[in-house]
Amino acid sequence: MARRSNRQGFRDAAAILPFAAALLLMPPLVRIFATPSIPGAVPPIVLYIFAVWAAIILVALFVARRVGDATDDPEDTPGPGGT
Amino acid sequence: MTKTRVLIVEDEPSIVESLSFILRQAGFDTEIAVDGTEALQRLRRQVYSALILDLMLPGISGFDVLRTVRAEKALETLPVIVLTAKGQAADRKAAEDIGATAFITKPFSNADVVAQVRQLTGN
Amino acid sequence: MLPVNLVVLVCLAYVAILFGVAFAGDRRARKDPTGWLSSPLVYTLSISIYCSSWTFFGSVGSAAKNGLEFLTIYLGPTIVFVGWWIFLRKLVTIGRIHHTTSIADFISARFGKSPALGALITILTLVAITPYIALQLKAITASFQVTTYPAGALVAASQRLEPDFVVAFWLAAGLCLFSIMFGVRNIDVNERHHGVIAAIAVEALVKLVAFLAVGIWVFATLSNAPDVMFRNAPVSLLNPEQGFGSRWVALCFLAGAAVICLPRQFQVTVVENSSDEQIRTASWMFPFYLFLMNLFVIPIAMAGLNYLPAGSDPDLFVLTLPMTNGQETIGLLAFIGGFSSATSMVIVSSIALSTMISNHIVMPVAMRFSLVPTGSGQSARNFILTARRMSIVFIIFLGFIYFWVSGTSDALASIGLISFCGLIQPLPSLVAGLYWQRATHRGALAGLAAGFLVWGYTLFLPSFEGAFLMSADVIENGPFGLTWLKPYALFGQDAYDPLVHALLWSMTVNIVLLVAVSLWREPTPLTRFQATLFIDVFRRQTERERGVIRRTARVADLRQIAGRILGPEETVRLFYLDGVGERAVIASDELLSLVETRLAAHVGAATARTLVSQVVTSETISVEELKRLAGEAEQIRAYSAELERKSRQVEATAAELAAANERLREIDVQKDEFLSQVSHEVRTPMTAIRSFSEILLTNRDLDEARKLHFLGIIQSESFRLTRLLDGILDLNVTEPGEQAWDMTVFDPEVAVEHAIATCEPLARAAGVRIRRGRRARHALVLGSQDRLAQVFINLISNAIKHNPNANPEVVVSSSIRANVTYEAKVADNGPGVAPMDRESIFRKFVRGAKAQQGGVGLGLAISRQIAERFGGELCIFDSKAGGAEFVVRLPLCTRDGAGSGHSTAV
Repeated sequence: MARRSNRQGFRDAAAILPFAAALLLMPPLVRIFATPSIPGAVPPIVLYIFAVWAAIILVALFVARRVGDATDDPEDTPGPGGT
Repeated sequence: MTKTRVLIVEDEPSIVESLSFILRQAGFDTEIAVDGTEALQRLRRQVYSALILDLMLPGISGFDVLRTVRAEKALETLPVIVLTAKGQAADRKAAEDIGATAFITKPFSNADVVAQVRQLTGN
Repeated sequence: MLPVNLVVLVCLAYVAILFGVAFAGDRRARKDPTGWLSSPLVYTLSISIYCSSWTFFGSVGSAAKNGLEFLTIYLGPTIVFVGWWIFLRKLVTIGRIHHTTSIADFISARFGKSPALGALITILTLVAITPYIALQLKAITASFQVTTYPAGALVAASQRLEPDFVVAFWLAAGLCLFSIMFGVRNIDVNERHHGVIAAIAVEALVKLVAFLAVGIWVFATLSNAPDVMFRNAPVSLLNPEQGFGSRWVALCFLAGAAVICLPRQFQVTVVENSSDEQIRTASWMFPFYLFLMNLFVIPIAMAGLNYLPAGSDPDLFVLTLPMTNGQETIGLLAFIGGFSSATSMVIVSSIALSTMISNHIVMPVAMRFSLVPTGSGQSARNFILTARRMSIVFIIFLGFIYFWVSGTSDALASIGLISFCGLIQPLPSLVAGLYWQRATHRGALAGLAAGFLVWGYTLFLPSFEGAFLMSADVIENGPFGLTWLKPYALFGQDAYDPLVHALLWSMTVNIVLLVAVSLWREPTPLTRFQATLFIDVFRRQTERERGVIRRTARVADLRQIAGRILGPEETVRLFYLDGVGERAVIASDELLSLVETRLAAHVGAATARTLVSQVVTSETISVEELKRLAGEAEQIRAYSAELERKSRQVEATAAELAAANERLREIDVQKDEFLSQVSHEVRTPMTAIRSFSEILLTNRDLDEARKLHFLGIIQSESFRLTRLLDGILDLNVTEPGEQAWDMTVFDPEVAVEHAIATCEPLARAAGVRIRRGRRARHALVLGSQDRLAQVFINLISNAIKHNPNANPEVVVSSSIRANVTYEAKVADNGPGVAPMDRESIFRKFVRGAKAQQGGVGLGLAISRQIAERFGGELCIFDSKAGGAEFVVRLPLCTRDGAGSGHSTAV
C-alpha cells in the first residue's frame, strides 16, 4: 500500500512537472525578472531563465529515476497490438 | 467484662455516627477511622474483633485496605464486613475474592448490621 | 583563412569516419540487437538532431539581434520532454507496438488506416521541409566559403557572398549517397537504422564538443567578466520586457510541437525507439543536451558584438570569432560542428520523408495502376527500395533547387520558424488521436488541409515577398483589394507579429474543423477499432478484442503477397514455423492480422491493409461487437475511476465510524461511571436517613437532645439528597438540546454579589475570609442571572470547603478584557489542583483527591456547562497565593442583546 501510494506520488509529480515548468517560463511570471539592466552587468533575466532551466532538468532527472524504479506494474505493460 | 471492639472505617460522618450508635447500643465498643491510612494504623496498634469497611474511601480505597489486611499475618482471620453503596454484583465478587467475610449494601437495616457483627464476633 | 584543400580533406576524413561508424554500427547491431546501440544515451544523442545548423549558427545570430528569443526554441522541447509521462510515453509506446513507420503512418493508422490522410501529410511535410533543407545546404556552403575565403573570414562575413552552388551541389550529392547507403538498406523501417543512428550520435557529440570548445575559448579569453561581456549588449537583452509577450509563448509552443511533429524528430523519437527506458532517460538528458548547447550562446554573441566590426553577419560569429583571433583550429572545429549538425538533419529528414513518400504516395499509386511488379520474390522489394532511394535524391535535390532559386534573397533567413509552423499542423490530429475516441479521419483530413492552407496563405507565400505565387500587392492590400483578407492581418487582426498571427489562425482553423467534422459524422468501424487500440494502449487487450474483424483469405494468395514484400525467408518463417502450416487452405483471422502487421512495418499500415484486402475474400467487422467493446472500455474506465473514488470514500467513512465508535465507547463508559456514581451518591444520604429513622423508631426512650440531633441529621441528609437530584436535573438542563433558558442581558457583578452574600454564612462557619478584589464596571452579558450566581456560589463554596490553610482566604475579582470579554476570578490560598487533575475536575462526580467535605462532584461540571452555554468558558489556573484560581470568561454584549464585538466601545 505504501509503495503504491509512493509510486502514485512520483507519477503525479511527473504529470505536474511540465505544467510547473511552463508556468515558470511563461509570462506573467517570467516578466517579473525581465527588468531593464545597464550595459556591463548581467541581465537578471538571463540568470533567471538558466537557473529555472537547470532546476527543471534536475527535478526531471530525479522524477525519471523514481518513476523508473516502479514501472514493474502489470497495468503498465502494453497489450499486444491488433490488426 | 471487656467489650468486643469493632473498628468502623467510613468517611461519611452521618453514617459513622449511626453505625457507632447502633453497635454501642448492641454492646460493642467502637472505634472510628475516616480513611484507609488511619484504619491500618489502628489495626496494627490494637486488636479488634471485627472490621466494618466502606469500599469508597478518600485516598487508599477500601479494596486496598482489605488487601493489606489480608496480607498481614496477624490480621489474616479478622472478620471484615464490607460496606458498599453501589451494590453491584461485580463489587461484591471482587471484595469476596480478596477476603471479605460479609457484605452489606447501603442503605442497610440496622438490625442486619448488628446481627452480622454478632454472628462474626461470636457474641 | 584555411586552405580549401585542407578543409575539403578534413570534411572527407570526417565523412569517412561517419561511414565507418555507420558500417560498424550496422554490423554490431546485427550481431547483438540489444547492445549499447539501443542504450538510452545513444537514443538521446540521436534525438539531438533537433539542433540543426540553424541552432549551431543561428542561435548566436538570434541572440545578437533579438536577445533571449532563441531560447524559446529549446524551452518548448524541454517542457515537452520533462512532461514525457503525459504525452511522449503514450506516443512512443503506440509507435513501438504498432510498428509505426512515420508520422504520416501513425496518423493514418489511427484514423482507420486512411490512405488519403497519409498522402496528405506526406505532401504537406514535403512542401514545408524543402526550404528547411535548403537552409541547411546554405549554412554549410556559407560556412565553407567563410572558412576558406582568401581575404580572411572577417571580410567574407561582412560582405554579401554569392553562394557557391558547386560546393552545394557536391554536398547534396554526398548527402544522398550517405542516406541511401545507410538509410535504405532494407525496407523494414521498424528494423531500425542502427548504423545511421550510431553515426548521428557521433555527430551529436561532435557538434556539442565543437560548440562548447568555441564557447569556452570565448568565455576564457574574450568575455570573462560581466562588465566586458555585456558592454555592447543589444537593447533586446538590456530591456527584455518586450520579449515576453505573445511571441515568446507562441515560439515556445511552436518549438514544443515541432520536437514531436518534425518528420526527423518523429523518426528518431518514435520509430527508432525500442524501450520505455530510452524515453525515460531522454526525458531529462535531452533537455540537458539543449541546456549545454545554449550555455555559451550569449557569451559568444556578446563577444561578437564587442570584438567584430559592425556589419559582420552575427549568424557566422561562431566561425569568424576564432578565425579572426588566429584560432584556426577552433575555427575548423566550429566548421565541422556546423557541418555535423546540418548533415545529420538532412540525412534523417530525407530518410524519414523517403519512407513517407514511398509508403503513402508511390505504393498506393503503383498498386492502383498495377505498377508493382508481381514476378519473382525479390522484385516487389526492389521496387520499394528503388522508390525510397529515388525519394531521397528527390528530396535533397528539391532542397538544393530551392536554395539555388532563392539563394541570393533573404527569404531563407527566417525560413526555420516558418517551416516549423507548417510542419506542426498534424499536431491536433495526433493529440486527438491519442486521447479523443470520437475523432474521425474526415475531421483529421479537414483540419490538416485547412490548417495547412491557412499557413501557406498567411505565412509561407508572403515570406517570398512577392517573388512566388503571391504578389507584393496582395501582401500589402489583400487579394482583389479585400483588406480583411490581407495575409498578415486576417479579419483586421494586425496586432500580432506575422508568425504569431499565422500560428493562431492555422491552429484555430485546424482544431475547430477537426472537432466539428469529427462530431458531424460517425467514425467508420475501423477508425473506431483503431481508436480503441491507440487510446487504451496501456490497458491489456484481450484476444476477443482482436477478433472484432473477421476476414477470410486463401492461404496461397496471402503467402504470395507476403513473399513479395517480406522476402522468402521471413515468409517461410511466418507461414511454416508458426505452425499455421500447409494443411489449411483458408487463412485464419490471426494469420491475416499477423501478416498485415508484418507488412505494415515495411510499407505502412494503410498500404499493408490495401495489400491484404486484395486477397481477402470476405470481410466483416462486427460493428455491434466493436461498439460494445468501446463502450465496455469506457465503462471499465469509468467504473475503475468510480471504484477508486468509492474506496477513498469508504476509507474516510471507516475512519469516521471508528472515531464515532471510540467516542460512543467513551460515552458508554462515562454513562456507566455516571450511573454508578449517582447510585453511590444517592445511597449515602439514604443510608443515613434509613439508619437514623430505624434508630428513632426502635429507641422511643431516647432523650430529647439526641432525638433532635438525629432528626437534624435526617433533615440535612434529605436536603443533600434534594441538592443532588437538583444537580442531576441541572446537568440535564445544561446538556445541549434541552429546554432553553430565559436569557436576559444583565450585569454579572450582581450575580457575583449575590453569590458572595449567599456564601458568607458558610465562610464564617469555616473561618474563611472572603475578600473582594477589583470590580468590572458597566459590564453586560447575555444569559441567566440565577444560573451565573449558581456558578459563583459553586466556585466560592468549593474554595471555602477545600481550604485547609491555617489562615484561609478567598479572593473574588473581576475585570473587562480587550473590551469584549468579562472575566471574573475566584482564587483561594488552599493546596491548589495538580496540573494533571485540572481537566478531570470538570468531569461529573470527580472531587479533588483530598476533598472530603460536602458537595457531590457535579458542581464544576455544571458550572462549566453554564459558562459555555453563555458563550464563555470556565478554567483553572494557579492563584498568586499558591492555591487554585478559577476564571469565568463571558462575552460582553450591548443592552439590546446584540453580540459582543465593539459593544463597549459605543
